[in-house]
Parts: sequence; structure tokens; C-alpha cells
Amino acid sequence: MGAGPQVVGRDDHSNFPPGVKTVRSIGSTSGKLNREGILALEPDLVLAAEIHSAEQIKTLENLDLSVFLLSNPKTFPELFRNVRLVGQLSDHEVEASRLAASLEIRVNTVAEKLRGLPHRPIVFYELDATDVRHPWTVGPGSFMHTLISLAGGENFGASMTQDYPRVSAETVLRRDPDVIVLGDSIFGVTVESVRQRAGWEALSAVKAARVYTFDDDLASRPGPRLVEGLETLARLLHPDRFP
Amino acid sequence: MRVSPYLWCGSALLVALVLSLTLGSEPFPLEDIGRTLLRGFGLLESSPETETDDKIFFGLRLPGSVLMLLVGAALGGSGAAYQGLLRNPLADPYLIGVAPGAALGLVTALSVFRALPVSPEITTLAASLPVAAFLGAILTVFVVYRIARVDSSAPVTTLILAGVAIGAFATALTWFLMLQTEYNSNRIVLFMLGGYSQGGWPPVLTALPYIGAGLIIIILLARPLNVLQFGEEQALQMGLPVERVKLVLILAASLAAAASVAVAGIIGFVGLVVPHVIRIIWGPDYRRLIPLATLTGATTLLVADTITRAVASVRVLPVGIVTALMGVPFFIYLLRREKRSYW
Repeated sequence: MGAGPQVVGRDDHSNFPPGVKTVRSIGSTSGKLNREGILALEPDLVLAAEIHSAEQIKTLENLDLSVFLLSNPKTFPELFRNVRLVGQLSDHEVEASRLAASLEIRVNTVAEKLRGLPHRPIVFYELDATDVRHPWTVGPGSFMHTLISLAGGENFGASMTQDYPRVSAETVLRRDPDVIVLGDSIFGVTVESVRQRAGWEALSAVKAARVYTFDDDLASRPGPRLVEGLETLARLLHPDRFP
Repeated sequence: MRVSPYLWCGSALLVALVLSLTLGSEPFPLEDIGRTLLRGFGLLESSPETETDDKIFFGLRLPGSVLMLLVGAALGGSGAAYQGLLRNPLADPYLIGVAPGAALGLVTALSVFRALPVSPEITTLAASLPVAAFLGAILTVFVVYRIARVDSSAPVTTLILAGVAIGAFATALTWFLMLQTEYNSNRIVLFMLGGYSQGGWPPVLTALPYIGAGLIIIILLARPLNVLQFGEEQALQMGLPVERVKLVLILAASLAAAASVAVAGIIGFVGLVVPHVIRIIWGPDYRRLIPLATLTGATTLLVADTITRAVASVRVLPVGIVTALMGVPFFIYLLRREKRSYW
């Protein structure tokens, strides 16, 4: 929305767009906050997210800083609201409004193109498979679950109770999802490595070459790129509808 | 009629194995196992529906259970061997450096991979980590042995001291390297808590020769182990080539323990507690102790692993924690019940 020049500081994990690298980073926000670093930047406003603990927010407030907590959007309308909010806070209401509107159009376009789907593929979204016999996936409370549904799929983990449950490899083999999306590609997991896992070569998704890598950042950062995540996912699941 | 201890331990192992194959995150009923096995031997027809079940059983369940059996046996047997050769009730398979060395090997390999300009394929990574762990373990034991050796003998107390010292050093280095990088710390923690393996047959086939060779050698040296209990001076006078026996035992036990750690991570308490349990119930004769500890080690780990897998969808419960929770109370119970000194 054009407020880029107003950003005076960021944390280590804020890495998009690439140009943001020139902005000073105050280090990691897991654990103790770099209070001196933040104060030195003399920000008029600190934008925090739900990933920060109550103690961290309190710390910032104790430093006499204005803190605004942007809650994680659970739906796309909430995302658009957040965009407009940030626009208000940064004094770019008009541009923010335009941005929110264009995002909304993109989301609606996806919904349009997916109208009347004959079949919703079962999607296994893999978050972490360090222990290949018990990979982590997404459950009904996660945003990825919403994304999968909006992208025309059915979440493998929909029947689980936790937001980010662990399943056994056996369960995956037994339920045989149609598509496997590797949210852990940033950790180096490749399509080939999935094929080499003990027992996984028998999966329909592997045999039909429907195992895809996916940039998890597109789904785990609560910002406008979530729309890009939706579009990417929809294209992977229904290539015929997105030529 | 006294029931042979081998019968006890053997049956316990069989029951544990069956439990391990039938239970887990999803139950696999006994009749189905029977039919799956028959299909495996070509005695029953298979169909598309049964194909998945068969793949799960032969590709994941069976090798998983066999691995736990193997590792448990290695830990039980090498634990008993270490306790005998070091003549110390606190000895376990990791005392002279296998565990810290393996962890250091693993972390070093991960750090090296991280530092490379091009990240290696994840399959290369996965394949090389057990090797790194194994090498780390063996090298550490080698260093400990060399430090402890004075002239041509390696006094037991010095071995233990050197083992603890080098182990602490290795652990410090491991933590240091771990903290340098967040990359893959998950993997390292899983490794140190034990029970984490690649799944399938490859780990089993990799570890089998070392564990098999190690255990066979230990069993063959049971009699010399008995003689060693009289004290090294005495044993020498009785004609035992003490230093040679010690060296071979250290080698065999370390090989088995290092291979176990390489494929399944650091699983504690089995190697320490199981030999004591056997000792309390059936006495300290190593000719009996070693085979029974091997069998019971396998049983214990199979049970612990079954519990781990049964709760896996609800709780992350590494096998190492289950073995501690299981083993320690039972051991304390036995200790209190046993009035006479058994060591």
C-alpha cells in the first residue's frame, strides 16, 4: 500500500518482499525481545501479531511504545479488514482500500473458477516430517485447512481434533490421500525424498505424481500473500481450471 | 517344576512382539496378521484391498518392531557386558562415550551440511546421519580407551572416569553446535530422546551385522566375564588374558550400542535397568545373565515402543521417556523387595 518507506524496523523472520532486507532487523522475536534495538529505532508504532506472547506485548508497552496487535485472520474477509486497518494506521487509507479490493477480487475469481467441482481431492498437507513415521499435518482450526477448502480440496486432517496434529505414516498409507503438499519444502524435503520413504511409494499421490512442494510462507504469514497461497494451491489442485 | 528362565523371557518376548505388531496408532488384528503373513508366503491370494494392508505390515510395522527388538537386545546385552567388565552397577551401554559421541557425530554432520554452499539432497542427508552417529560413537570410545590405557592395561576406574570426562566434553560441544544453528534442532532433540528411526527395512539391515556380531561375541565371553568378577588380579592368576578380554568386550559392546544409537537414537535406562532386574531374579552368572538380559532388553523396548506409538497421535512421547517411566519404578520395587545383596 505504499507505506514501505515508513517501516523503520523488522524482525529476522520478516523476509518479504526482498527489498525489506535493507531495513534494520532487531533480531529474533522468539524469547527475549531486543528492547534496546527497538527503542533505538524510535518507532511511532509497533505492529505485533498473535505469535508474540502477552509478556512481550507488555514489555513493549512498558517501554512507552504504541503497540497495535493485529490478530491473525481466520477468514479472507478478516484479512481484508486487517489490510484496511494497517492502511488507517499508516495513513494510507486509500491505497489500502484499493489493495484490499484487489485482493478480494482475486479470491472471488478463484471461487468462480472452482464453481461446480465434481470432485474434491483429499489433500495431505505436510508440515514437518523430521520423524518420517509420525508427520505433522494441519487440522480443522488452522488457516491452511480453510485454504484447502477454498482451493477446492478436502483436508486430510479434517477429522482430527487438534489444529496441528501428528499422524502416523500408517494412517497416511491407509487413507491414501489424492494429493500431498509439502509445506516443509523449506526444510529441504523434496518430492523425490518422499518417494524414497519406506512404504510411501505405494501411495496414489506418489504414483500419480501429485506430490508438490509449497512455500509454507504463503500460508503461515498472516498477510496479503495468503491470497497468493490460495491461488497457488488452487492451481495445484485443479490445473484444468487454471490454465 | 521350576520354569526355565529362558522360557519366561522367551515367552515374554513373543508376547511383546505380538503386542507390538497388533497395537499402535491403528490396531492390526491378530487374524489379519496371520492372513498377511500367509499372503506374504504366497499361500493366500492377495487383492487390491489387501495390498495396502500388506504394504503397511511388511513395509512399516514388521521392520519397525524388528528394529526395536534388535535395539532392545543390543542395549540389554551390551549393558550387561559393560556392568560385568567395568564391575560397576551404574554402568550402561553409554558410559564410556557411545551416546555423547554419537550425538556429537550427528550434530557435526548436520553443521557441516549446513555450512556447505549447496544444501545436499535430503535423502543423502538422511542416509549419512546414522553413519556420522556411528563413527562419532566408535571414535569416542577409541579416545576414551586410549586415554585410560596405562602401559598395557586399562584400569576399570580410569576407563569410567575418562568415559565420563570425554562424554561431558562431547556433550558440551554438541550443545554448542546445536545452539549455533536453529536448523534441524528438532531432528537432534528427537535423536537424543530416542526412538526416532527412518522406518522400513534399511535401518534394520544396516544395524543387524554390528548388533549380531557384538552380541554373539559378548555371549561367547560370558564365562570370562564371570571370572573377571573376582577382580582383575585374581582373574590374571586364574589364567585369564584380562586385558585382551576387556578390549574385545569393549569393542563388541560398543559396536552393538553404537549401531543401536545410530539407527534409533539414544534410548536410556534399558541397558542400565534390565541387567539388574535379571540379576535380582535369576542371579549374577553371566552365562545366564547375558542371554536373558538380551531377551528382556528386547521385550522392554518393544513394550515401550508400543506405548509410544499408541499415544503418538495425542502426545509426542519419545521412547526414551517411556523406558525411564517404566523402568525406574519397577526397578525400585525390585530393589526394595530384595532384602539380600544381589550385586
